[in-house]
Amino acid sequence: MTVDVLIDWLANLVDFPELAFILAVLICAIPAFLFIAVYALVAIYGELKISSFMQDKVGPMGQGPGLHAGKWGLLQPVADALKLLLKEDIIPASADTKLFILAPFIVFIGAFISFAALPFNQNLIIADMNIGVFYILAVSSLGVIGLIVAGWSSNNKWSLYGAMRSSAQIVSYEIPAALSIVVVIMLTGTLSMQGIIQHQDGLVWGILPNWIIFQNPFTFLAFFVFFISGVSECNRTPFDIPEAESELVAGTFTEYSGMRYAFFFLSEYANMFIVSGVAAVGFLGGWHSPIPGFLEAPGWGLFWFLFKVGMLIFVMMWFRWTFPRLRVDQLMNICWKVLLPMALLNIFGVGIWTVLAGR
Amino acid sequence: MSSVLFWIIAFVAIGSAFIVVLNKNLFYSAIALVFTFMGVAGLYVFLWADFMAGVQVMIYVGGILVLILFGIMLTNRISSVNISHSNYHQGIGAVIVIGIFFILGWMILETPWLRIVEQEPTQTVGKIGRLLMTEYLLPFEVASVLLLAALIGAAMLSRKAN
Amino acid sequence: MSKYFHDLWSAIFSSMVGMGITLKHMFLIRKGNVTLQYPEEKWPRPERKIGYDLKDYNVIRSRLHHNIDDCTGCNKCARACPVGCIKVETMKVPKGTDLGTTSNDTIKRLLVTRFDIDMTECMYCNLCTYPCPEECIFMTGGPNSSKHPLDYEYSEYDRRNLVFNFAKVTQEEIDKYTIPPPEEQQKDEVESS
Repeated sequence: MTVDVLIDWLANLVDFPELAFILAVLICAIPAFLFIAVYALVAIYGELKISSFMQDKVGPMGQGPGLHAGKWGLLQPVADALKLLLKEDIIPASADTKLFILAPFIVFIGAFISFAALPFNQNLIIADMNIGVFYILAVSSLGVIGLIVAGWSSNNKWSLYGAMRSSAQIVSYEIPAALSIVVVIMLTGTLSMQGIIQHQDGLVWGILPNWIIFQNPFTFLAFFVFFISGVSECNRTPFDIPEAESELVAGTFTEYSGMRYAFFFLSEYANMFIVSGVAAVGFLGGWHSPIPGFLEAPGWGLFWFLFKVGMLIFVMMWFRWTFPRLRVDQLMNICWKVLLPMALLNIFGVGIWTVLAGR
Repeated sequence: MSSVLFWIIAFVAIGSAFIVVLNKNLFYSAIALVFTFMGVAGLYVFLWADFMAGVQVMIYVGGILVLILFGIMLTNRISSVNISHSNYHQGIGAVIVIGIFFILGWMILETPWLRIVEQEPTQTVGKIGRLLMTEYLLPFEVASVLLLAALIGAAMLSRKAN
Repeated sequence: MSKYFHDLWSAIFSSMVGMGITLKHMFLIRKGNVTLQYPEEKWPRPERKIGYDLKDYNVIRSRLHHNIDDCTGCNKCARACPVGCIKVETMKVPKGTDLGTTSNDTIKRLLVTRFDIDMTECMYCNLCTYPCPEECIFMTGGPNSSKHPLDYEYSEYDRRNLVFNFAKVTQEEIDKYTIPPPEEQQKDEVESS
């Protein structure tokens, strides 16, 4: 389901092409928004449970009557969401009100419009663009502006430090991430998401699925470079310098509460989904089944894509509850002295490999 | 359809450009610049230059604008919210701007534009890449050498003298 | 250069070890779980060994408890209570009604229709226990541990459940023992005369 098909179909029904366009965009955007909201609830529940299990606790549990988070604490994320929505919306007196209100929406829009190019299965993609991967890389840089605006308009030193750190970090880590995606583009010869996935059909090395991660050792390395940079771009632990609780109260989000904070939260989880989605599409075969030719129907394609994305998000949570936070200089060291040379080496290696192996 | 969208995007681009120039607050100007860049990216999409639109967003919004915001925030008056700038020489500026406006307008109206049939190109990226690697290889390489020189220079300048 | 690669390798190796540890803990949660689902599960209460004989150690004031079987409804405890958390209502019964005796062989003369202790208001001053002639109101624990088990964690989901109703009188008993109003008696007298 691309938005073009919808526009054509609606244009036949409705006389005004403008109305058809707006309707088609809304039909695509509202389910995407609902998907993000529902996914965020599931991810919050998963994070609560996984974090507790890794620390030998049981997490939210409800066994008594009344509002006690349901069986196994299943209602806990709903209660959290309700609490965030019902909380008082505080705008500090010395803050820059207009930008303070605008900032969460910029951050969320940066995450939200990336969903337009994510292929959920063979047909389910909002817009299969020629420049799909590049589009996602481009619009995800919009979030940085939102974080800077949030940090500056709060008029709080912690927020400002958080904003400076997060923008420096995201701008730096975009480079290894983009260079790792270049490896994928070199092998597939296309920027379109569906094109990249279609290229990963079949087998490689006899038994492994023909996913890009398995095609040669350099792509295997490139996947990890991309994923680590992606985790860092989401500002998640161990790279959560911008909102380091022990140093900077809550970093950029110090002054935010209630609904606006919820939007930051939502966009963090949406960003996790996008990074995992791009990693799944670019390196793990998107909606292809792990056993080629087995369970390849569109419905199973949706399942395989969500399964891969879910596993990658689980790995992100696993990172978070395993590793301590990095120091600022260590963070930049990893980016510029380890990941960036490795990404360049990968491009070089994949080029050589392609020339020698002819594939 | 496209005409209404075009006017909306053009209005956003030009309106935010006016805010960039006229607003007293430097930070507001920088934020308005985001919308200008996004509007220009939208105009690129209307010209079927999707790759150019992506580059516009990635480099200008994700790179240059962040640098501008960094520059603003790294100034020593960071503690005060009202980082403002003032406009000088408004009369001379207006004359020059109006002159440039008329010259450009005259040029746009007088030039015999090469009109091609409205047809959506299927692949823009491949063509751009091929042209960069064959016909425009020298400018491409010169630009990359220039950027490398700038990178080394920046590293040298920021380095502690020992 | 070799240090760079050695650092890289040790970073990757130690990260893998750490992730292995967390994954192991995640899957062995049933074995290694340390959380107690408190109101449903409780730690076993340890034996008290404090070096004193329990009878001498009258400090434990765990909860105010009342033994309604021994209560004569004298209302002394409610009058002694500084915060008024004890509410006693009694009812006179017709002459000759046998309400039984307390464990001190005192004949009960009043029917206790209401004996509520509001533990949200109680301040554990222990003042109500001294006037009681039958020693039927007491703090659990300490010297009274033989009378009632120690009850230190009476947690409830609803605050109203902390008001303990000790009176066991049913409506039928109240109806049975109700002395008829005086007008009716007068009527009866008039008719009989």
